[in-house]
Amino acid sequence: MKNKKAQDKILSVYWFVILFIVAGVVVYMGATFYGEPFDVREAETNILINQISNCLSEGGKLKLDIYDGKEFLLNSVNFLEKCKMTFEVEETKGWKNDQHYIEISFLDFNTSIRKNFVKQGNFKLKNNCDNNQRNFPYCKERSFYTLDENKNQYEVKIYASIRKTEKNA
Amino acid sequence: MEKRGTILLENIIFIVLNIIFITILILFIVSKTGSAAVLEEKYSKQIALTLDSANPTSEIHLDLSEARKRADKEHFPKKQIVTIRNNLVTVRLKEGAGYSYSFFKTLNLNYSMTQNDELAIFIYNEKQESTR
Repeated sequence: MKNKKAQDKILSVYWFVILFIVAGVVVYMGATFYGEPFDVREAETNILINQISNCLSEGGKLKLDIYDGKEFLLNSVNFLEKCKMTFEVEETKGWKNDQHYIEISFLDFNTSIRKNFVKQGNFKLKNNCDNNQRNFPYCKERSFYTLDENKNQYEVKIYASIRKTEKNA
Repeated sequence: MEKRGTILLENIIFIVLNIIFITILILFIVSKTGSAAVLEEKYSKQIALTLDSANPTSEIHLDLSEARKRADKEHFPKKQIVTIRNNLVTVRLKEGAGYSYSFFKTLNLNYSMTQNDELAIFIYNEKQESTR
């Protein structure tokens, strides 16, 4: 009977040790999980590309204020104004409106010759892309096919990169 | 008989301590999930992404009842929960700076909190003027 009671006491000590370990793990996991910011850069990059494509083309045709049938009216200088966008960001963590970068290539569908190229934002982001590493900018390239007024076919490639690492990773 | 009584008391203490322990853990997790900081971040990013996806002449309604409850607990005024200035969304559920997240679309918009704890956002064409 004495041995049995001693065993029970040892068991309860172990039980509390296990409880403390479990509690420690739960607290650590909770703090880690909720301490990390929500990473929305993938969604944001996809939306950015979608909005750029909406800005360039409508109903499968290049918009007239992008290509008037003779020349491209979209360039790196007027891109933000034409597409009603801004790459200004909050003044935080040393950000200086340098958290976005986009490139748009208009390629002739048959020859793949580049007809127009537009870029805007912080070009340095392109060199640091790594979607598997949380502390690097998130980058994506997507393309679509479209026609101009003269029924010429184009492939439009849109590349977008968003950093905002401090608020997402 | 006395020994049996001691064993029972030990067991009760053991069970009570376990229950206290588990309750504290659950309270910790609940406090983390519903904390003002987490909700501020969640809502500001959600609103910013919604505005990024939005097109002119649209009306958006977002359910902010969870945020409203939290703000009420902190005695924070409902009208100050969401602020959209230029291209920056700020959500505050208590006194302090809150959480801000920027969106890239240039929009003319007007917004308000409804009686149903929804954030109603009205996006206008360029020519129309927002009135906030």
